[in-house]
Amino acid sequence: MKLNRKSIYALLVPALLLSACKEDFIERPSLSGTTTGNYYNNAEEVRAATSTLYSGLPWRNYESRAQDAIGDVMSGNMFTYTDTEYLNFSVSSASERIGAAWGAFYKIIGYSNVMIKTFEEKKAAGGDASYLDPAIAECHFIRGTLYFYIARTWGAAPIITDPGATALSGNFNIPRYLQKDVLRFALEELQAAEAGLPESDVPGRLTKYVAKGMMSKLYLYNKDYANAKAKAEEVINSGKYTLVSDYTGMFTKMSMNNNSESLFSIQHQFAQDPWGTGNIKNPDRGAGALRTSEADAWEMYVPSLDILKEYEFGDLRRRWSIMEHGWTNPSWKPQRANAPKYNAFMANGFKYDTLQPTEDGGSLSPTRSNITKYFAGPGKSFGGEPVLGQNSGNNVVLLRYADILLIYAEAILGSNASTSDAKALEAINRVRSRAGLTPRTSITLDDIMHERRVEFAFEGDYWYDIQRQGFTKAKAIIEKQNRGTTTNPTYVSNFTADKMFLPIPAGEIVQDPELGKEPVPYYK
Amino acid sequence: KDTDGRPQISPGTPVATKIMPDSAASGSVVTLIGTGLGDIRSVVFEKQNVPAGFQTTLNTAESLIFRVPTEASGGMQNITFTNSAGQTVSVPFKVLAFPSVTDVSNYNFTKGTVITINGNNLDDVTAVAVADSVKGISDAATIVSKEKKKLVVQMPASSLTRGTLSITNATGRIRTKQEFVNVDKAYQIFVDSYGTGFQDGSWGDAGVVSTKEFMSGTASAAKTYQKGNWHLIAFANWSSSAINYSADYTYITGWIKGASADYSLYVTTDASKGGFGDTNEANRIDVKAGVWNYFKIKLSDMDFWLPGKTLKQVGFRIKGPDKQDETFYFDDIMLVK
Amino acid sequence: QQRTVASPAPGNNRVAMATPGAAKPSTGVPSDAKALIKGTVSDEKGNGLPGATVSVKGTQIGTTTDINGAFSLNMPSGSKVLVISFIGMKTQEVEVGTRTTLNITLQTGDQSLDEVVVIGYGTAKRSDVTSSITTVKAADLKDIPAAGVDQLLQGKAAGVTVTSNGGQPGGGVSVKVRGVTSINSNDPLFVIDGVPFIGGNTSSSSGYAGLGGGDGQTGNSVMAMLNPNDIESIDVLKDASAQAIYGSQAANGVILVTTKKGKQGEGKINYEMYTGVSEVARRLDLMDLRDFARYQNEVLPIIGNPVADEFKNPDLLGPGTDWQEAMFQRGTINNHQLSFSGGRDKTTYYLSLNYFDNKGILLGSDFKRYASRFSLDSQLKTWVKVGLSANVSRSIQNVSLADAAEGTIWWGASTSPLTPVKNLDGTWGGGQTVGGVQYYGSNLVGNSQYRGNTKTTNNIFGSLYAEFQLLKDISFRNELSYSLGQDNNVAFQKAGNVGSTSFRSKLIDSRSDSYYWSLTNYLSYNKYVKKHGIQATLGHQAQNSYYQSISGTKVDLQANIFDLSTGSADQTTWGLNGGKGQWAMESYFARANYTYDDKYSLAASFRADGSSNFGPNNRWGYFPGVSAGWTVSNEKFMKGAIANVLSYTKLRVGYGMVGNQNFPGGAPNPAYVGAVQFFSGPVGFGSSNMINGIPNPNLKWESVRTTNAGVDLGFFNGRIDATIDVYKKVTSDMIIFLTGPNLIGVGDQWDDLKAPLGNAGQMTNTGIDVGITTTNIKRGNFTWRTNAVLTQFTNSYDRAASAASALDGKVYYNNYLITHTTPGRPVGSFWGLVTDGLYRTQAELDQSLPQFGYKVNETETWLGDIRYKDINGDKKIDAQDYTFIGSPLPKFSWGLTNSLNYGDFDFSLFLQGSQGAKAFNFLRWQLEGLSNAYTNQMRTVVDRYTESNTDGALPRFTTTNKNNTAMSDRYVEDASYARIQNITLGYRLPKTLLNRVKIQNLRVYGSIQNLKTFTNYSGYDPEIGAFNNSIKLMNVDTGHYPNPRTFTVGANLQF
Repeated sequence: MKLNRKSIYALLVPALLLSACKEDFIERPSLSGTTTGNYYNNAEEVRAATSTLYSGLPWRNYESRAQDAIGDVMSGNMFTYTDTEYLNFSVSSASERIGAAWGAFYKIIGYSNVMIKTFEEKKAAGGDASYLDPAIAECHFIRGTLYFYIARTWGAAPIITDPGATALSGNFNIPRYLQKDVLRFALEELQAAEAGLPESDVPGRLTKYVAKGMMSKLYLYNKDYANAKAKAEEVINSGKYTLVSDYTGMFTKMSMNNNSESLFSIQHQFAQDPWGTGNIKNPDRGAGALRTSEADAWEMYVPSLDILKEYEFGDLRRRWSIMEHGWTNPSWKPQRANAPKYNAFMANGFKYDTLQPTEDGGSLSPTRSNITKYFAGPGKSFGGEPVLGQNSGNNVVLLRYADILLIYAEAILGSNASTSDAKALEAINRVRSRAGLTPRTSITLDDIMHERRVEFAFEGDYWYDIQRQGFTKAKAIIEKQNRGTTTNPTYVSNFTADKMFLPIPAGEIVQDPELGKEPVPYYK
Repeated sequence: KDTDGRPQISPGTPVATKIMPDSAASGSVVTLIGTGLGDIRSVVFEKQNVPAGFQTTLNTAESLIFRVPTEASGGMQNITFTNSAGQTVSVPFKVLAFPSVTDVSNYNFTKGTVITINGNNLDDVTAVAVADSVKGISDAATIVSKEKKKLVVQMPASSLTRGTLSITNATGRIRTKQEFVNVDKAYQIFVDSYGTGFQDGSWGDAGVVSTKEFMSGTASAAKTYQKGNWHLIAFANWSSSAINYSADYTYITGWIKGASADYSLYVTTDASKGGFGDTNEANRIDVKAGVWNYFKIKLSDMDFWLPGKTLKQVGFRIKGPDKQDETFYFDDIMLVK
Repeated sequence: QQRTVASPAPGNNRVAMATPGAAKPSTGVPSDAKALIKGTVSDEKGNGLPGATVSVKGTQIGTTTDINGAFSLNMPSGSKVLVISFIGMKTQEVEVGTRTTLNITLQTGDQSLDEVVVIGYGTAKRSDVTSSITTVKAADLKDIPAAGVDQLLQGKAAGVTVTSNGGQPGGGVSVKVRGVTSINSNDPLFVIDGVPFIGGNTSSSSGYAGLGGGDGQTGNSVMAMLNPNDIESIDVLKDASAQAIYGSQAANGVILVTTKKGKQGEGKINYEMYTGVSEVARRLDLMDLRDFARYQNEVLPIIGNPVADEFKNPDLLGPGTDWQEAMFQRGTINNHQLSFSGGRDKTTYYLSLNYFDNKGILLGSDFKRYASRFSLDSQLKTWVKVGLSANVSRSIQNVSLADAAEGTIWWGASTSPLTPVKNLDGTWGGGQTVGGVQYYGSNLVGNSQYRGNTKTTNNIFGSLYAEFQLLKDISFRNELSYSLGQDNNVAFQKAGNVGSTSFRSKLIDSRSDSYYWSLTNYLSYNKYVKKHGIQATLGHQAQNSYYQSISGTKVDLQANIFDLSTGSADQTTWGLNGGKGQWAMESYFARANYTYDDKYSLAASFRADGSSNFGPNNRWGYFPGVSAGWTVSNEKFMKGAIANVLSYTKLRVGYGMVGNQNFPGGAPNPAYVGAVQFFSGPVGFGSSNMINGIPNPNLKWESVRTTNAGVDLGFFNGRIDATIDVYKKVTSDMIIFLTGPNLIGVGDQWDDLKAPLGNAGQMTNTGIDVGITTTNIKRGNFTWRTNAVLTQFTNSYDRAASAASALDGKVYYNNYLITHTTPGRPVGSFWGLVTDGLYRTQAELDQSLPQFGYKVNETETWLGDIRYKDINGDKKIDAQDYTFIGSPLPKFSWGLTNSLNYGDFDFSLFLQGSQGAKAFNFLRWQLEGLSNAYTNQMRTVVDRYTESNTDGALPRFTTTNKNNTAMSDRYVEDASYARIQNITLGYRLPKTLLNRVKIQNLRVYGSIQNLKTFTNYSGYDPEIGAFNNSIKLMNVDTGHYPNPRTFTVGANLQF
């Protein structure tokens, strides 16, 4: 056929119409997300962001296992077959726990950094300071606390305040800064937090007094006794905190999350998703005899023989913290498939029994004991707190009022050999009296160290207590400890000054060779 | 052929040629050798029809390896093996089941004291005696009742100051780890009443005889310690019957019932190096709250009695109590040779 | 999309492209008719050729043969010569002379030159092509029982490296065009009849991670949903000058699939089927219970653990459980295909129905597909043609999670033979306590009764088009392509007990749906003027896709009913997740070809893409390509005698630039704004959020540039055809997370503050593709043809994001680093220590270097331990001595097909192989590591170092010296192999027999797939592929699902 010109044009018109799209055809915003540009416009949205900083989600790689290995295994409070390098001081820079703690700390610092930056930008764009400022102060507290942890764990360490700029620059040669500068940075962050945080808030949220409490701990670490005493006193005099009577409940009952003794806790939710929102310390501590289809329990960490010796007779904290032969919990009734003997043994409540065969419900941990703190039990169907596999819903407390009281007593003692100061005695005896012990009439540093060790056993703190005694005393403490099992007592003799701080993770030095060099000052 | 990985051994006509060993205790491995032993489905020990489990992978046409079950009763009996076709073979076997003891109701006895023994393989006990390995003395006790896990005996009069129990059943004889003290042969400080020549000499509230609480007999000595006073209960013998130092005395023993919380008490005597009222850590007794606590301490491990001294006062001192007044009960306080 | 090129003008001395119906039959009978000529046209085998063109030379008169190859024609006076042509045959001229009946046999021609090549938005003749394109015809793929076209390409196309990632039915296939192009996805763009599959060729199913326990390979093949029997031909665009027309989606190569269409003429009914069984081709030599008992008796005292009394006398024991036998089963495969095709009145149609069912050789793996394809094309008017096609498929796949540590194969190989499949009381075995020790290990038979992982995919895709002939030389095409997908992936666990493990019932039900459409308009211009030929294309395209997904989790399902409406009412046990995404792209493209005198050709193309993936600063990418060709053999000086030997020569060169817009997994999209992320569950004080990353508004296209030079040669008039291409391909500006040391606080994990995406790094591939086809013998009714392809490339990861960053591949819950690619090495390089024998004497120990700080004593370094090389020479062995220990990439891979025809018999032998690749046998680390006392081991561990076997091949057993199990070249093996991939013998039943039952054609055949593999590799199968198609884990064997050996019989019927 033959086409005339007209019909050609008639056909070309629709073709041309189709040949260009609208400008915004390829502008496709994210459907599942929201952007920093269009969000964070009210208190709720902003507080939901800082809420993440408290959660187990970013903290889990420190809190689960690294905290145990560094704080309690290395200090001789726990025995383990897993993290043996922390028992015998052969920690290498390739250690998984070091990498995990380092990663978690700097990750949370990254979160805080980007939030501070975003909220400052929001403020500059006219956002409401009444909710942006407290949120920024929360970020400062978190950042300060983490640098305090970092300074105590590694000594000299890098300080990062703008991750985005660093990442885009491609220059990763960041030096280590002197430990005293890292501590100073941490202190200044806490001071900023103290200034910006509210007098009070909902349970668990940070307030001025939490910042003061953390500062008192940092001052004490620096042996600045006057300031440590002053800050602890402000917390005590606020009247906002008390010692709870249910000591074990602080660690094992969801109903006691953010109780009146807790200043700062990692917030957990009873859920397995996202990973880390639940508390996953549960299986690492649970006695194998309590493993059920609901609750995992593989007793990776057990009390050391040495800490068993530390308790005074009659110290109620012993059975509040540790299961030993004869320990019972009548409301726990774990049951298992195809295990008639086990089920019969557990039918009338859990008995911790080291004579019963293990497959029939007995317990035979290497030190014949297990930890109760942060073990929520065999699961809800079996009379315990709810557990979902590895997850429980208990918060992990990082700073509590008993600590403030003992900091206060120690700050008064200062560098004296002993003290009978009434306020110091009152502070330490409040802690002792809850534990059912007789009051002290005079205290030495050894008394305080003993009290701190049993009060905060398995809470990840004792290593830093040993560390701040200085190398000579630390060595004496450590080499006296039995770090073995009931059948194989073990003592270490290789504790050298370089073991006071942990090595920087090997992978980090590969990517940032500056970390392998001498530290430099941060404050010029 | 596509199988699920199980060894393909079909049942045969089971014939046993050998069982190794032919006697063993519960928990021991036993091997049955023979022919046609494939696909065994049950192993039963004749006495009480106790089944033995085993791993199916440890069964071939020529052998079966299993363990004597914990519940197996002692003595000669047949073990019957049945395969999936229902064919059986029986083999005679002797289960060794020695008596064992886990705990006892009391460590102190006089003639006629009834003691309950918990343990295992006690239902076929034929003889119980208080025995002493050195002197070879053995005084038979009377068996009151026996069950597999529980044995009740009535103790004999004995010339021994202390001894273990020897228990004999169909499999053999054992001697208990627990040592029993003959109250009649002991130097009695307080038993159901104050021992000869003894009277109360406590600091603070007096020690009194209480019939409300007792570990044995009908009474104990009760003592209330006042809050904050560091008092002690004292058993004092001011008479001439007080005894001079003798190296023959080996132990101090007794029962103490705890108070409302755990406390430590300190044994103190006027014959000690530290003097009466001393609280020496070597003399410490940790007393658990609310239950009777047994103690038996070697005098040589304590500061109790200096050679040449006469023992007139024995006391139990407390540091405290700090919260409230506390009452403790003392029973069967004795020195044992 | 195959289209007909308009007939060339008279006077052009090209050979006309013959198409049925292209020549017009004469209308009237001229008065000076000389004679009516009758005859038949047949092929060499004597089969009548329907639709052959018979024309009278020098006139417009001609006709087409009928269904039996017969024709009749009035020959005008003065004409002497008939010209007979048929696609794929040599055109023949016949002097009629005085004959009135002619029986003409056409010879198979040098078809490659007249082949039509699909080039994207059009077609071209092979002889005009100047870039690097490989074509594979359906006939070359027949008789191979495979789920998808991706697998069929293995060994058939030079420059395309195909490895199946495992024997999982419907499982993943790695298809790489010319080496490794990107550190992100390397899946080429598949375009099926013009419909692009923009998501790549890997779709993932869920694993068991949510159920607890080890995971396995979850990446499966997208192409498995397309029925390979519907394919007519496949064209692979290999160099950038060919790919540039697809611009930003073409960097990994483009595979254009053309499906079968109906043809004019009487309707045809085809029925094709095959059925077969498969088995595992090789088993590992593992210990049985007797060996295991002996092993335990020897090694347990070393650890100080008691030996079970049950094992005192190993001779009394039986073989125990054979877990390999337990995990492998007899597989089956069935395929049925019914198709109807035909055409009349300018309309053609094609309809096919397909059922494919494949049960794998590993417990719990199978794949079923129901598919149907329909296409209709109609020449409505002389100036407009319309058509539509639709492909509907549903596939159901049960995935057995193998190929990972603690996956099915791993457990099958390492579970102790002591563990019974079932206990005495009928319960499932596992976790037995024997002699006071619990023997862990998964009872995979028991588990398979309780756990499953099913993926159901429904998909419809196709297109509608209209094509207008605007002017004689100009046509306009308007095409709408669409694809709708729906996935349902269910991972479930029933309540119950297997051994000492209690399963809680659980359901993870994930669903997603997606759509894609594209609207393409383009003008084509074709003009031949004297010796000049011009073709040009100009077009515009808009594409848009959208997906959404939702996933729910419930536990404690009543009565094990797998439905989200049942289950625990406790909301804290629920899980709910979801997501959405969209993408759009607008493009302009143009192409021009110019040929002169069939000697010189020049082609240029250009495409501009604007993608929603990028921010305003770098949204548009521009992709040019140019190429040129010189057909030397058409020069005068190549005529003469030389033409009898070297009958065809063509030289080609090309250069082009293409792009890649694939983001690494987990990247926020778009990447140019700061996104706020919410969580799938409660976090912190309840509902929380986090800032999900650091935006990079300057992110731009990953760029790939290819330079290509090629030569096409023909010898002895097409007896030998060869195509050789050499290329260099440089990938730069790779899209990568700019992560550094962790201290910066950014990362690429799900809960990290995401590092900014950036463009960094460079990678180079250089290689040679060789394809040779020969006709070795052609005598009477016997022919023997050979087709050989060779693919060679070397890859180098030239530059990384920063000096210190490397690409890491880890296995076993990410605990073990296996690959670590540092700049200058091939991607996916293995990383480890270099072994140097064992310490066998005290003297050697005395001179040993400290290894990771160990001293010389029985618990640390001792006799029988591995000696490692001090790579950096600092007199100690430590992390600094880890080094490159092998590349997973082959030096070359090859395929060789021999086809023989004798009368009605046909026979083909297809060999295929790969040379020079290394594999990391991580399963051997588990089975020969000599630190596992309680799990099953290879029988080789008997020859380990002991005091009485000081020349044992393997190191001593130790649990205290951890160095012996460090990653090292001890586990790196040569994975070269040669495989008899397929042998087929077919027989075509004689016509005389068939005519009675109205069957036109019936061929029956038997075939064996994967008959024998020649290799030194010690694992199940040297063809390992990539774990979930990741280039970081190529050839890492953590318990690889082996490719089965399959025996099939089949039949093709035509009515």
